[in-house]
Amino acid sequence: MSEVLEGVQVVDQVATGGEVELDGLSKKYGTVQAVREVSLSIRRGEFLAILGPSGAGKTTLLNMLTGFEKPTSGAIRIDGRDVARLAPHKRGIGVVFQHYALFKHMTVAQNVAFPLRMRRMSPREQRSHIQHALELVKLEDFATRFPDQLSGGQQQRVALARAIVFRPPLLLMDEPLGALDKRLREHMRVEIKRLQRNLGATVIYVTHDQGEALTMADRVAVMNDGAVEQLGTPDDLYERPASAFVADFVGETNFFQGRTVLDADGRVRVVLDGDRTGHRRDVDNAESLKADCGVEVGVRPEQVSLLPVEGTDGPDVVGKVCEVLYEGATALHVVETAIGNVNARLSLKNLRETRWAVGDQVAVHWDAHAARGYHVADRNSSPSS
Amino acid sequence: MSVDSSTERFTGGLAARPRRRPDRRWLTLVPLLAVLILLFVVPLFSLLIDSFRSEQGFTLENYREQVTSPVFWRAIRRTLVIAAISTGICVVLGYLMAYALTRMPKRLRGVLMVVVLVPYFTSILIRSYAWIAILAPGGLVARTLALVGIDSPPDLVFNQTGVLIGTVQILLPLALLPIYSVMSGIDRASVRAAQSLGASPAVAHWHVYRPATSSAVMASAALVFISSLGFYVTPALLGGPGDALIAQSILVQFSNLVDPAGAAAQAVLLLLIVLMLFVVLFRYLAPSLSVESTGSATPRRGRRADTTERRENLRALRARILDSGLDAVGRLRLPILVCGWIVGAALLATPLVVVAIWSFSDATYLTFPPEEYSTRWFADYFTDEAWIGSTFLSLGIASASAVISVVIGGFGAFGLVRGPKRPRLPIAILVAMPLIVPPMIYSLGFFILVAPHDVVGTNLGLIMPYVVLGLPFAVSITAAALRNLDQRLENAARSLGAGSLSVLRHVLLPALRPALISGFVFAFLAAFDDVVVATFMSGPTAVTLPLRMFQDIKLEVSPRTAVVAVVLLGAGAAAVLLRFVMAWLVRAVRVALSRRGAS
Repeated sequence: MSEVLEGVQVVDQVATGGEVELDGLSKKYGTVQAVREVSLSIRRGEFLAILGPSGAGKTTLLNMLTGFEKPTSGAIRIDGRDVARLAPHKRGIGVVFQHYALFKHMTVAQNVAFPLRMRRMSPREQRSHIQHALELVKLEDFATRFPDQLSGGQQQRVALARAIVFRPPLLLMDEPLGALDKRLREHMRVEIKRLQRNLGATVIYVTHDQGEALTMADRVAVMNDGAVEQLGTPDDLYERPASAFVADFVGETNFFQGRTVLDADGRVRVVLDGDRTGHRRDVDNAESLKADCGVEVGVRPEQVSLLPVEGTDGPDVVGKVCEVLYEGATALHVVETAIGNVNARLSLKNLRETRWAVGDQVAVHWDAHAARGYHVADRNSSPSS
Repeated sequence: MSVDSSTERFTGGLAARPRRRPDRRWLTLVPLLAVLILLFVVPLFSLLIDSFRSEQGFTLENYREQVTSPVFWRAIRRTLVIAAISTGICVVLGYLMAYALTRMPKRLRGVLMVVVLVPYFTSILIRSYAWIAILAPGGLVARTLALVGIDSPPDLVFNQTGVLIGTVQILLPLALLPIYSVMSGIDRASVRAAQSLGASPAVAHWHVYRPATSSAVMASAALVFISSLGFYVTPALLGGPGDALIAQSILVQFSNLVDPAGAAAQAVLLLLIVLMLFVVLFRYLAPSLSVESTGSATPRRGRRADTTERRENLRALRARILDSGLDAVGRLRLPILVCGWIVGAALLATPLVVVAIWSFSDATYLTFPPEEYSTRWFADYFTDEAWIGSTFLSLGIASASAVISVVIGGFGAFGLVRGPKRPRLPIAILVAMPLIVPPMIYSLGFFILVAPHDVVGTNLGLIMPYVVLGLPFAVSITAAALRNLDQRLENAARSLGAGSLSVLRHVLLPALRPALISGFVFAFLAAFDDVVVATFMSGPTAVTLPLRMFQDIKLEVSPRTAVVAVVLLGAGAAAVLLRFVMAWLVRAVRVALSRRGAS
């Protein structure tokens, strides 16, 4: 009983997440701008994910936070103190490295003790801290093991314990789940989230995996080409992507080319290229679009429904089903139409009513609020996947 | 008949012969083992027998005489002290230099690797001889000091200082290379992790990086120490008359005192020391001798937790003091590394530069830098039949023995890697032994064995021991390459119908060619550099080039050996250059052809 109480007490002690502010952080290598003017403020106890494809500048940003790269300009303030020019070992940031970077010649306990030793803590004090940190990650029975005697998930948890044991104001995680298999990865997401919530830790979590970012983070910063492309909550990001890049990188999106027109009612609408109905379509973000410009219209595959051709008139584009990929809970239908190929992800519930087969003629339908328009010039670069 | 055989071939012969043929790959080990046993183990046994021999038959008198002789003990002690000091210097310097190599830009690393590798492949004899020109009166150091007004320079050569400097120079690459190869494989992420957890760079290095290198450091220390125990040429050239090390003492006992039994007894005692060290250090040596990993080479793991509070606090205090010291040292890490490289590069490169300049000296005695330059010593060398004869004799013998080593060793390596598992370790140890046992011991044993027969002074008498000295290189290099070669390649060839010979010709030989070539180079150099075996086996009729140089230097220190060194280095450089030029030509032709094809 007392042990439990002690555990709770430690949780309280550790709950000292700091307030972090990146202010105009930039890094230039020669003429290459790896990170441009990144400014983010992270609240006490917030879980912020930095999401982006490789080459987006995540690693450089991370290296500037840990201190292994000096920023060309800008500040990193932790609880108001600028650490941007401090040596790595003077920053006191907890870091979970990509491949854990555990010390192979030290036991689990010695690994976790390392930051305490560096802080000249007395051995007696160290012991209780180590014990509590290992309890937090449920590894208290593994203290005397060596890292290579542990599974990948356990090693991951040791790295976590080592990074939190000295109660850093900021916890950085660099693709911490990258080396784990899918199942374990999903389990660890929950574990890390639970731990972070219990500790009240401020976390910056760098990943290229949108699933991790969406499920774990309070807010996500999507990076592209060295800059933050969108900062928002996971549902913001998914439902209201700010750019074609975000729409494409986070989740899947059908893109259709078109042009904006100013309608008589003062609203901007879109005419899709190749659309024989010539229909002027509403998009969700019409108010942010300029008239008479080239646009891409993005629609998520799960927002598309397929209807029988008979009895459809109006805006729906007609096409032919050319592929059906069964996915279990859903089935992806690829429909050939005049506006391009349309992916429609239909749920089994929908399919119970009508099943479509390859070769069927269908009408492709989506609601106006599911479509978003992006000016063509906005698109910097698209991820290859 | 022809129809039958063709159908059989078509079905792969499997239907006709359903039983699996027994695995006969171990047969390839037979020549290797035969050579090692007949030409290596038997000579050592004859040495052992001789050490117990007297006119009356079996006796322990030879040992009693040596063990009670203060001269013998002094030689042993000197040998151990020189070995210990040079090992210490080599390992510390090698560690610093290897670490600096891993942290410097690629281009600089390439240049500095040349500084390490060229001396590594240069003959020990030449490198030792160069130190005379640097350290002796009238040499580089004395002349330089005279310029600044110091007329009585310290005695740096023909004493133990000279032996130490020469030994360190020769063994430094041997210490550096294994450490470097381990260091270049270390992931720096754990050092970064330590820094992020609050360790300053030096503290992180000490607690995280250094432990990852510790077994490599021990391995190179063991290798350097054991190698230096058998050194003969360097102390013979750079030591004084009263500074004989144990290898010299054996030879003196044998030839000057004409006491073969006493020499044998000394050799057996030295062999015991070496073998004991080998056993003690085996777990470190095992990986570097390319013996299959035994899993014991990992460093001993953290000490058992000491539970008493006071001791723990004491240990924490000690660690704190250590860390503060490291912090202080860490601030100087760049100057330390730079100094390490300056000292190391000076040690490694100066002898070669000095030799190159000295060869153009006009003087008949030692003055360095030379007062007048001429090519008279080159003319002298090229017109002297005895020297040219020795050169060709050495080239021929070293090539012949290296070819034999590579053939026997190549097959042996196949048997070792692909053959039965159980005898692997003992065979690998046996193969490594000619490298571990000091050449003086082996040569004496071989001489005692063959002296009654008419082989001393013949080519065969030299080639046989040189094959043995080349085998460790040929086997270990080929075996390493074979281990990296996917065995499925051979299986695939077999499944496609290739017989053993076809597999050898079309799969193994092409894949192993680089390894076989470098095995040849190492085996060749082992024979081509040798002075010790030749001392026993050359006789008056077959004086090899190194032996002639050695005797010439002992007689008078003249630039003649420098000339030979420059000729040899030039030939080596030309060979390397030729290879690059050939590769470049082939590529150029290929590009030209493909262009024509495209247009």
